[in-house]
Amino acid sequence: MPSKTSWFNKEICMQIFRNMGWVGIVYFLGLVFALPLKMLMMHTNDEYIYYQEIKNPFSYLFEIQYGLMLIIPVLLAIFLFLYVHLKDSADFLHSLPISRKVLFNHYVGMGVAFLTIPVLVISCTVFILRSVLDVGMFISIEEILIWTGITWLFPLFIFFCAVFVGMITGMAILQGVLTYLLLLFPTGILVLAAFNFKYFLHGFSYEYYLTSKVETYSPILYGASFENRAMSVPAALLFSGLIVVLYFASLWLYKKRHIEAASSAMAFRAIKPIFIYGVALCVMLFCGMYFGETQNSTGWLIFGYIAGSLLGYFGAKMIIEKTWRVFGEYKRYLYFAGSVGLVLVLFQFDFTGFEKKTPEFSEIKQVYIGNSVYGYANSDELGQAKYLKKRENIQNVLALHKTLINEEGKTRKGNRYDDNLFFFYELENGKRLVRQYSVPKNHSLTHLLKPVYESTEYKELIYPILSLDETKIDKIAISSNAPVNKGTSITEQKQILDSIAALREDLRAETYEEMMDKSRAYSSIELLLNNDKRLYMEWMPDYENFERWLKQNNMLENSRVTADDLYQVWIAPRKDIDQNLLHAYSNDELIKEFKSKESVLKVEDKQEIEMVLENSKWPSDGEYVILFVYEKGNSVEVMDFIHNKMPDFIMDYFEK
Amino acid sequence: MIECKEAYKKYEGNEAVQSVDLLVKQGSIYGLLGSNGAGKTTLLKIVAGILKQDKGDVLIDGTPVFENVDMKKKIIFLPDTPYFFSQYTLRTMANFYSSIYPDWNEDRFQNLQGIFEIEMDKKLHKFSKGMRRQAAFWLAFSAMPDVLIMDEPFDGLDPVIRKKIKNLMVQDVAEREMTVLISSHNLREVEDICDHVGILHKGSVLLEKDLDDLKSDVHKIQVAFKNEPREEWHQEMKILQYERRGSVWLCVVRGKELEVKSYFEKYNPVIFDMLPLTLEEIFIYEMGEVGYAIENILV
Repeated sequence: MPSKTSWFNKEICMQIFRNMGWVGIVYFLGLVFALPLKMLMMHTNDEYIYYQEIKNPFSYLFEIQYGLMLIIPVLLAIFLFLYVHLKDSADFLHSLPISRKVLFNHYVGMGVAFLTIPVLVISCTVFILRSVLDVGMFISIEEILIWTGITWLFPLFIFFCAVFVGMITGMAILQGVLTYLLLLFPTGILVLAAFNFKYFLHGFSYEYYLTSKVETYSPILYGASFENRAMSVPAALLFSGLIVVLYFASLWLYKKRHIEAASSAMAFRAIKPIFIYGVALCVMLFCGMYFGETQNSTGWLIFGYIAGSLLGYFGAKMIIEKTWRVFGEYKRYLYFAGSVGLVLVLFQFDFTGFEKKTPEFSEIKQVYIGNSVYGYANSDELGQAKYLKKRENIQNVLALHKTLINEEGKTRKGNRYDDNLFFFYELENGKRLVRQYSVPKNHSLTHLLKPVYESTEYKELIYPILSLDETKIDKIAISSNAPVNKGTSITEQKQILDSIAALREDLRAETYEEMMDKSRAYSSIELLLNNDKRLYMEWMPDYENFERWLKQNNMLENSRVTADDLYQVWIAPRKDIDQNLLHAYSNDELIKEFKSKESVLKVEDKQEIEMVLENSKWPSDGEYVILFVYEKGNSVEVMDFIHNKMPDFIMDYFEK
Repeated sequence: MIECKEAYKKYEGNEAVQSVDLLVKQGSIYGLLGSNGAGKTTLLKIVAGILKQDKGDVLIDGTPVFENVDMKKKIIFLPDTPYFFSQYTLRTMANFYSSIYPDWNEDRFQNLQGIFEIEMDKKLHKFSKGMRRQAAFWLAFSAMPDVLIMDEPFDGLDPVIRKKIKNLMVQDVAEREMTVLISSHNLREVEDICDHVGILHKGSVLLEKDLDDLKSDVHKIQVAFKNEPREEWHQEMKILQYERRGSVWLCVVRGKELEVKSYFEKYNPVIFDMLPLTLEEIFIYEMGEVGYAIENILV
């Protein structure tokens, strides 16, 4: 006698298995290919092991495993709930004496089974293979359990997302597309918002938001790194919670759903405007971002908004109405455009108060200032954010910040090559305030930046050597940056202490201007610490104490390029030299070019060469070009003079 | 048995069913007639519990049908294109039905093999349209429903099978008081089995009639008078239509046979014949009276 209990019907399960079972089988075979088979292939062939690092079961063909995790659940949900999306089958199944809840549970339950059984079987197989192939040193039992948990939970979450979307839409293709869009949405909208706020909120640090792990908000992007980072416990709890929520939401929608919604784009009337305006907004923001970033002009930005909103609005309408002839109803588009325009105008008037907002001086606990968020983020990663804590510095930073706000017009629409100033305040109450401004290269903020940059506290933050315990240094290695093979190392304790003292004196004396102009370093200095860590810094020409110390200890000769290393030195007015040759790689042609010009000055006196060396920097576009020729022409360097630092004898020569 | 009270349904923006009142008694065969787009299918799907009406009540045995599992166990809905699971044979489909419908009669299913000539173990989707429809009937009759709802059921069936199915249906109605609701766009297709008909036009019921009453109430009469009566003679009787061919009048009259006879005899007719009227003619006259041209339902 067939079962008459209303909550379980074997024949329905049979039907689902007959028609949709292949998805589960494909999943199983895919996992077999990606894991047990790959394990056999790798561990029976010793050569493999050397090529690939096995950290956990995900390490075997992770791309395929992850592809299966993303594609199979969506495919499964589409095929399972195809019956809701096709008119004939929808009518048939809903004419049967089975309540919608029971019907839904049968289909969802079978879907869960298709996603669970293959994983369990593979998990057991991996357990067995682990002992048979003796790969216990690569994979621990715990890692197999973690793999099983993730490979079970994550696709299940994707599956329930797809089921949920399937209840909203009436078309299978749309179900697939919308599921992936939904899974990308959290990251996508944050990226779009960050880029677009940048255009309207003076001081908004989009980079800060884009570096704050924004990619982990999208399950698709989050899962892409399972190989290196297992799902965290909070994430697992969140996924589980969302599965429950999605299940009940889907069931509720399914019960509310009209059967005749089969094959219409949106099953619920209320969803249609949300979909249309949502798509219009997202495409608008995307086009704004595209044209804003590539063209960097307000005109193009507005063009992007208009084009994007039109495309999004009418595109979404075309999907909903399943025809491309939707241009008759433009009234609502005008409402949409009007309200967006109004919001943009409100932003111009800073209605949120975002642009004018600065923290109260008394509330600031500490502040980070730098050229980009990356400096902040990197220092944070090392566990030592480079915050300024001294009240005087905080006051100076705040003054700078306020100036930037008041001079909005000057700093707002800079071009891409401008400098950035990044502020990160941490307040006494634990809140944060992040701002970022772009300032033109030749800005007039020097008087505000100078006191901050020249302060001991700031220097200690950016030069770790200043606060380092010098007794921990085992060795100092100096190697020349010029194309000559020169280097010194200091290993004697006393010499280490003395040289560090000299260096520190130079760093403390460094002016703001010198700090900004790091356009030529003689050599790189590497400090080897007794905990095997290394510190690097550059030896700038203005480090006089250090140079003097090296000279006194007869190390200067080997520590940097000197006049003796140079075979020839040529100086020519930039206008006389073929610019293309300066960037070419042919040394001979370049030397020939310099030799052939009458205006060229050849410097031969060692002392004069030394003066040129001291005042040269890496090329920009100064009036004169210097050509250093090393070792009989094997290598050359093109240089510029440091601003206003051309030696007199050269000046005299060219003024003649 | 089946009862619609002011049922209303909007379907893809159209008012497919507007305030329909309908009553089908137990053990009767009700023909729902209407041209394409009249709302027949929508109404049937509401009665079958597939769609939910937006307003009004749809009751079977006094209880609402929608999501009523116990009630739906006794209802079979046959859509205009029968649906079967892909890859299913008649046998596996029958297993499915037997697990779903508690009154499934396996003996009857086996016996019906003599009537329908379908291979049981061949995949149903390989059959022709007519064969699939036969399979659907086979399954429906084996499920022993109390209510059978059919949407254009005889399309694509040959006359022999049509006859057999009609016989089976009438037999079930007679033996176990099955209630049948059939939709059709063609009166002739159903006039031989229906005892009641309703005409659905643009979402509402124009007319609902007992066919026997209808047949006995409308008469076609050929009459000629020796002495022509006064102009107003036909105004005293309910004459639906009349025309004169020479001295002979041709009238369609509503009323009981005897009353009609005695009325005409007052005028001493030279010729008086009562001619049989086809159902189709009755409808045309009836509808003409209501003022609608719906001939296309009836051809």
